Amino acid sequence: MVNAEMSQATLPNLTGIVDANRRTDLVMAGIGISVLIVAMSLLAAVVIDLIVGGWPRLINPDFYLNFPSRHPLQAGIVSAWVGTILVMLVTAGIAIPLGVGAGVYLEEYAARNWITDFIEINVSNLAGVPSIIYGLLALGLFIHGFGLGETILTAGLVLALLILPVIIVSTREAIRGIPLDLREAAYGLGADKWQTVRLYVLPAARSGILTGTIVGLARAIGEAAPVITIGALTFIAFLPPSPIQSSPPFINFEWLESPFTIMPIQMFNWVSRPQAEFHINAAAAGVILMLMTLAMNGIAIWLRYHLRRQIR
Amino acid sequence: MTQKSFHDQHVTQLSPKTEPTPNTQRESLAAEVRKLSFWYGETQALKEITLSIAYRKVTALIGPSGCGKSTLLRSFNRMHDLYAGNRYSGEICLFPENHNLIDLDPFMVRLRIGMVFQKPNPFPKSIFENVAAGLRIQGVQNKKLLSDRVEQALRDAALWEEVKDRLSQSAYGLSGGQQQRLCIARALAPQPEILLLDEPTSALDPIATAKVEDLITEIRHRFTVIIVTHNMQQAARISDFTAYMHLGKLIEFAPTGELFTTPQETLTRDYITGRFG
Amino acid sequence: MNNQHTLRIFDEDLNTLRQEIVALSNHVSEQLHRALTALVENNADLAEQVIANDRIADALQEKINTHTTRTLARQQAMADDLRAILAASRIAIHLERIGDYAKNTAKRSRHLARPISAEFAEEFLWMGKRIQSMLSQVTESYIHHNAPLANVAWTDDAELDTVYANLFEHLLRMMSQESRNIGDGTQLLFIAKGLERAGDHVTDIAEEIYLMVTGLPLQSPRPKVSELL
Repeated sequence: MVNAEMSQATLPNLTGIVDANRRTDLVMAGIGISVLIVAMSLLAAVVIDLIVGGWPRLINPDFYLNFPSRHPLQAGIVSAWVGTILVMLVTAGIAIPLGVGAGVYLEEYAARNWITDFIEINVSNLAGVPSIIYGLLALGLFIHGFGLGETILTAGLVLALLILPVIIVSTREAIRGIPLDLREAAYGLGADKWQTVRLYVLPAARSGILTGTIVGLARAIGEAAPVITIGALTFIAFLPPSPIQSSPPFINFEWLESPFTIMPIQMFNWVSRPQAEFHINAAAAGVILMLMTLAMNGIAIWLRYHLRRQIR
Repeated sequence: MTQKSFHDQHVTQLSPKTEPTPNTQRESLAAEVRKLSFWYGETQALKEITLSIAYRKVTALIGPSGCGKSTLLRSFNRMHDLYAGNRYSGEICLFPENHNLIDLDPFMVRLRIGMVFQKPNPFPKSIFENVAAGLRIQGVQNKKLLSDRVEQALRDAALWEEVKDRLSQSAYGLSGGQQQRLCIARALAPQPEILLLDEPTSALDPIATAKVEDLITEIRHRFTVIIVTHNMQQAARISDFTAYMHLGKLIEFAPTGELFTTPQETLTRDYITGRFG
Repeated sequence: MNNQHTLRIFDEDLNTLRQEIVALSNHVSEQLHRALTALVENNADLAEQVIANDRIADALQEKINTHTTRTLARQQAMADDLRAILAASRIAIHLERIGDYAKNTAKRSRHLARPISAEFAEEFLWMGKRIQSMLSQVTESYIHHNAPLANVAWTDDAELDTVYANLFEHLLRMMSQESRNIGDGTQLLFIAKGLERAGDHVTDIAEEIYLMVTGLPLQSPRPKVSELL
């Protein structure tokens, strides 16, 4: 009898709690979905606006193959996209080894003392420094200090510096994410630190490192400010020398010292012109820049998938 | 502390055949722990442990959580050296050379003493490369030698029949029990003098556990095994000697059949009969 | 029982136990045979040997005892494994008791004033043979987990009891005929009683085996000596 009374007293109560929980869930799901819809529609609006605005130029093959011109309908982006790709090559070539190396050092080798702490604080702070400051640094150090000139190499270096903190931090996080088990397994077999890192930690961490690297490069590809600061030209009617040649040694590095322009600068240039036709060009260039970023992410996803497949 | 010397353990004619009969000769010992103490920073985790490890036998370390059994096990391959602030005193002597492994280079020690961990932790590589890992670390290049050793290790770990047709596939495709046996094969491939097992079946189901236990009793004919287990029935089933530890001290050490039927210490008796204080 | 345990050392433990039981059974059977031979042939040396060899039975039983305890402690035996280990422990006790009766026979045979008559010799030898054959039957049924065979040995005891009852009467008659026979007759009575008890132990073993194999006790009440007299 007592039990029956108790259950009768508590049962409606329980139903109430369950119902309340269910309502809270529904409300939270609703809020989440609406936030998502707002964010996605804003993004979609920007993309659609750019595509619609730049459509007349996007469907014209000349746009991709012509150099800049005073006539909006003849102006193209060939020097800009070639420049962007070359600058990105330099940036990646410098930032990835340095960033991954520094990340591995800080995470695996650095002794825990005040010097390491000092370096760590600085690396984190560097990630927050405005990009124009990097431009000023490059102007002072690379151009006036080392006399490198307004070249692809200088642009690559400054963008590499800009994304170095991102790569270092993401490398450290990827390494820290490797379970202790895996490390102890390697050490347990008699591996030294370098063998453990090279053979087991880095391969296991590479998808995390790759993600961080792509995030960094995606940031670099859209940066205009530091590159403008070092004095990149906006009107380039020629391409840098080809990195590949038909005679030995088949590759050359003259292109590193070539003047250049890049997609964001080309866009900036067109946007700041009074003629409305140039704004169409700017929108079209914007779409291409976005596609380049997307392509980079695509490569990253494919690489990651491929690397995982290799394991199997 | 009840330390029966190996001489005392000489078993009379009447005791069962399966009970180990170590003699007093040094060759019958794989290692000897002498007054080993260990500190994690300021905390003393091991207090003057003295213990003999019989050659090609299974020695089990049991005791409640925090008794120091894993700490003792990990001292054998100097795993504590990976982390700052740890300190040893005393000796762990490896026979026949009688070298104190606390004084040796930890990397050298780990080449001679293999370890298997609580959770299966294969490398994100193929089955073959997992087993070959230790040999690769030692710089073995010879393909024939590598594949021979890998096969032998997989056979020792009772895994060969299950994986021989998919050696190049990822180790992550194996079941938990198979992964743990793979880890045992990986530890066996470099042919260590002592194999350390740190609760090797705590993450496995009963059938996988039985398979691992069976392979342990098989490999003891060629390897010296030290196993830490929180499952004292497991220690009873598969070990030749059992050490009971409590609060960093060795309380009792005896042939397994004796320790589980006629413990000499009240603490041991309370623990194995389930009378926890 | 045909399928192996995954943990093969468990099989080894059980096998060792089984071999020890068979060894003890064979030893006790041999002791019985030699004790009765000593009795009918009036062979004091043989009797001494039987008495001395009883220590082997004691040692074997002790060994089985230790081994069952250790196997129980080490392997968490269940079901038929558990019954097998417990049965081994109890069978060993019965076998050791049979060995004691063999020893007693040998001891008493030394105290006889005269060699026993051919008629009695035949009856004692018959009893010994019957116990030996029952023992070999239960051992066979133990090895092969054959419950029906254990049942046969169990019913065979009735016949042994009948022969014992006859022998009892013959001995009483012999003693009542001539008073100088009372000494030897008493010894022989005790020997006969011992053999009858040995037979009871064999039937107890048969019950243990039946329980071990089937998990059920042997049901029907066994015929009693008193009912046959």
